[in-house]
Amino acid sequence: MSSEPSDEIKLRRLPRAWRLTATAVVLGVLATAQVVDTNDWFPLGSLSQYATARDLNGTVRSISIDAVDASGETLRVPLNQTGVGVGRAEIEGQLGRILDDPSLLQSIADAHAGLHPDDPPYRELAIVRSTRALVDGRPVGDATRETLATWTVQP
Amino acid sequence: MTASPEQPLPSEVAGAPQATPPTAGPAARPGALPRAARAVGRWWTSPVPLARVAVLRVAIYLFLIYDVLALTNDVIPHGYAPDLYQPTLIGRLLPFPTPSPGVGWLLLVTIIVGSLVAATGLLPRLAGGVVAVAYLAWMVNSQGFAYVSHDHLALIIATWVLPTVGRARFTDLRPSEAGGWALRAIQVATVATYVGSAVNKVARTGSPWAWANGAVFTWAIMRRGSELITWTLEYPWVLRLSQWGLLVAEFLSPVVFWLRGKWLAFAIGFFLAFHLATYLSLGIHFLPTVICWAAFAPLERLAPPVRAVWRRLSRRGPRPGSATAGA
Repeated sequence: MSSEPSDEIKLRRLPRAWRLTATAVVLGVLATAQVVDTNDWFPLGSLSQYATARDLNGTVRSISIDAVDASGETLRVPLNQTGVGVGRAEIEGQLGRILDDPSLLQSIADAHAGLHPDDPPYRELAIVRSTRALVDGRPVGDATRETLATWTVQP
Repeated sequence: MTASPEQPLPSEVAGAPQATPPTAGPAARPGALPRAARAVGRWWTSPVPLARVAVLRVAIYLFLIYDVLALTNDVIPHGYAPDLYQPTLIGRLLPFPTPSPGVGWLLLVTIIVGSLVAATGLLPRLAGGVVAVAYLAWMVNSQGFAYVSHDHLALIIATWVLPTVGRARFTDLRPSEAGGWALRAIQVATVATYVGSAVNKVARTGSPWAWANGAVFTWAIMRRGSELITWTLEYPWVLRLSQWGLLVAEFLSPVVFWLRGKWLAFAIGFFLAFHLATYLSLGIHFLPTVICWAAFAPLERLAPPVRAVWRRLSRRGPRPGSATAGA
């Protein structure tokens, strides 16, 4: 099939109209989402990764989950895709919900058991927050660790 | 595939086919407004060779397979923790299934098979449409656990718009307005990823400078910085300067629509270098956005080499689909 570069293929009226209308709607939603700052409209929500300003004299906090497994060993729960499926940011994003109802941590133990059936199962889980201070934008001192919630895994 | 596109391409097709974006000027004369609206419409549908769509389609659909296997590969594992599922709006509105390993596997197979078919250019609307729906369900799951990243905006838009082009052959150099709209949508979504995040930084902090004058890079590096970058924690002014550089670059990103040739390549190279830097320092790569920068390139020039490979392979013994998969 020969295709001469000169034969421009135009859009008819209706196909052009729906494309331009959809374009305007999508851009309108995306722009509004940036201003009202909502992630809920994904994939047209706020483009908010690292958009929060951090205080030069504030603290830097980070969440982790510690586990005691069936062999008695204490270890750091791998909060990533291949570890327990759920990432650190996903725990931090619903931290309040988990602290209100620590039984949600059962999901972490279940996911670990489902994804790594050959590993010793988790017996105890603890959400730990590490905090380090900033002074003039520079980290000072050592990180402090506090346990925010614990959960005894149900068999 | 019998046409012979090896002759030199007309410059208006191969070289710099993009029209200058419309500038919203004051409506000085009667009729200026409709004229401006028509100019906007023309810019959004500036024709591009169908072969460009065909090559971009290969890149996007093959990348999707990589994406679901290596980048957003949390969907099947998410299925073991459904109690932590906090779906975003469309996840609550549309009847997407609750996460489970079985649903995850079904979506994975659908996306991979659909993407392979769509990459070849066969059944572009059907295969592309199936991929668009399945990939949206996949992403709603991946982003439905109380954390939403924003590197997939342009890629998701690409899965929505590419099927609308319909048939586009690797040998078809005819300029198409439908193809032009699809590529323009991907281009704008790519740039919107940067300019939108700059707008969001200002909206969230309430001032144009609070974000750039803060400690967000310090915060990021302390939480997930690699050894390549942690030394900068002792030099907060370097990080603050970099924050200003990033914010200005994000706001200026729409300039790419006015750039041509090497200046366009330089601007795109700047953003790719930025992503490489954040990958090396923080492990954040934004590859799903990076791949969509390809929508700015005269990709149809890749079609003749692909055809040569196809001919060589088909002389040795035909293997359907290998020509397109090789692009």
